[in-house]
Amino acid sequence: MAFTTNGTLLAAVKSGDEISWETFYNMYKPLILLKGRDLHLTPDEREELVQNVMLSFFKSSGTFQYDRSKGRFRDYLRQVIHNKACDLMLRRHDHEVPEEKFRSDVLEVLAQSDRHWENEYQEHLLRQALQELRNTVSPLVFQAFSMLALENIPGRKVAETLDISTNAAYVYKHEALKKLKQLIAEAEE
Amino acid sequence: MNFHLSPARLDAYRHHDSPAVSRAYCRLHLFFCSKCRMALASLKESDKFVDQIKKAALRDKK
Repeated sequence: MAFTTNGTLLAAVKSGDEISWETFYNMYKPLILLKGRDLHLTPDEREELVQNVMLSFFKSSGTFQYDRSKGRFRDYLRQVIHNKACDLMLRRHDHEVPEEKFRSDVLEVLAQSDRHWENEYQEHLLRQALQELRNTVSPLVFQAFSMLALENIPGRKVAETLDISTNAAYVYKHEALKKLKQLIAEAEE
Repeated sequence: MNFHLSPARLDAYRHHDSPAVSRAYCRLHLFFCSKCRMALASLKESDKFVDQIKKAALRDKK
């Protein structure tokens, strides 16, 4: 999956490029599902949330113009997810509770969830970058990085397992970290 | 000081993964080189970045 700046991807989506649509879908589906889980939507509702958010983007893709100076894409995405999730949650109203109270409760849940959005989006970027790193660097570099940095395996053990020097293991770790930071910086453009 | 320790070498040093001779050299070098001491401090900062990646990767597995 290509990992590219929001601006580039959105421009390609707007032009109707099918592969870019698929990339867009695969990139943001996990984040939307996570948001749905945070909002305690059922599995079916989470899938419906994904479809509704994607449909919303699809419908507006012809006119949508990403302008970094007007705001960040993540904030626009948050609002679309917020609106679609709100619709789904309001559908649950069974009239046992007054509608106004129910609506107020739904909005309160959404507001609480929104407070975590920045962290969730940042985690999403990190996950995407990690996946792209796996596709970008050699398997040996990724393995050394993964064992040293993510699994906290001692350097000498990593070196022994991968049949490289301890110094090489740390060199690969830093090569991967540098690449990760670069990928994240590009995605945030 | 013209020669500086690479991030990889500093990282191995702080994790006690360097051979004894290299460890002694790094210790001596850090005593005299403020630039490398700052680089060592920034490695500790980059641990926070690594922790964020771990947390994100863990959440992905759930």
